[in-house]
Amino acid sequence: MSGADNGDTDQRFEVIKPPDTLSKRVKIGGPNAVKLDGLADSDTSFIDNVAANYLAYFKEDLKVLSAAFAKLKDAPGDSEIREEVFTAAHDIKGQAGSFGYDLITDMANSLCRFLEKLSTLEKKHLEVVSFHVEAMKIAEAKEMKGNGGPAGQKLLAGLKGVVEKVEGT
Amino acid sequence: MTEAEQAFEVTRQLKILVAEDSPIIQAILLRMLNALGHEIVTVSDGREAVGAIQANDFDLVLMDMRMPEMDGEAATRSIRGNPSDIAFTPIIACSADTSDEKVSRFMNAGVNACIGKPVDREKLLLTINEILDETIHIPVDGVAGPSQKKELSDNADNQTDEDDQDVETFLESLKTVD
Repeated sequence: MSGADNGDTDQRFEVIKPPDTLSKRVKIGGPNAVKLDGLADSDTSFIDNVAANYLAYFKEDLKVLSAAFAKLKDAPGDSEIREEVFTAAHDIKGQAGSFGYDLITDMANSLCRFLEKLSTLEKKHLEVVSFHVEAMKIAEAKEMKGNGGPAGQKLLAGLKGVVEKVEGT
Repeated sequence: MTEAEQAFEVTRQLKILVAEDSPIIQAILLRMLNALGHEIVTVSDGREAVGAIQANDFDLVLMDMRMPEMDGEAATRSIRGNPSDIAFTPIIACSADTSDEKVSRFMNAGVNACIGKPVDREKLLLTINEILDETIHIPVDGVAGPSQKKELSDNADNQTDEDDQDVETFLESLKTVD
């Protein structure tokens, strides 16, 4: 282990001991830490709030993904922007299924797996990314929960088909 | 349909470091583990994780592998390279990417196990047992409560002709790809 790792560490954290309400237990360091200000007196915990309103959170994540993709279309060779798209999809994958939106997790996973196999990004690859973004927008607009039902599964099968088609060319 | 989560008895409380940059995933893990009486410390990146582990005795680390500042791989290597006993702290990698290649990379970095995201509560608890080589969590009869993950139906009954039409239009557009 390097000396820098030992010495320069910013020790912003707090021990959290049960039992307590979630809002009182959570106090986390870092720029992306859980912010529960204003929720401490609420009967609804942060996570219950997220669970009840997950699609609203997902809509924001979709905006991030769409914005990253818009930049990628202008600069398909930019690896950092491609990483932004991957990260946005990766985050969606990790979260959606936790709240019962398995279809959205599956779509995001399909996008991640597709992106990570590519060495260069051509027009047809951008189209596939675009289809994933559009499919997720449909899932959000139609509030497709669980596996999305027959309509959701059709979307997923369509994405799988187009990925196989492009990867096979 | 609402499904229930498997209930577990806990033989002893653990002190667990959760390193995860997503506030939502942090809260999910916190809820899962705190409900069982475990003591949780949360940090938002790898550098904070390395700092936290130097200042506390943890039984276990749950390490997100994609984090800002210092990712989970680098943090794991840093912890494993520490000259003190903290180098031997069990680490479970948490990642949305559990492809063979990535799992191999995580294991090479020094994690003891890898679980996928979304995190499956039962799998997490049993993985903790496995890597600590101790039955901390014992599945028991009964339920812990409704499963947050599974309580949403696939809303197949609510889908309309308009939904079908939008999906069909989308599927038609896929045919334009060469």
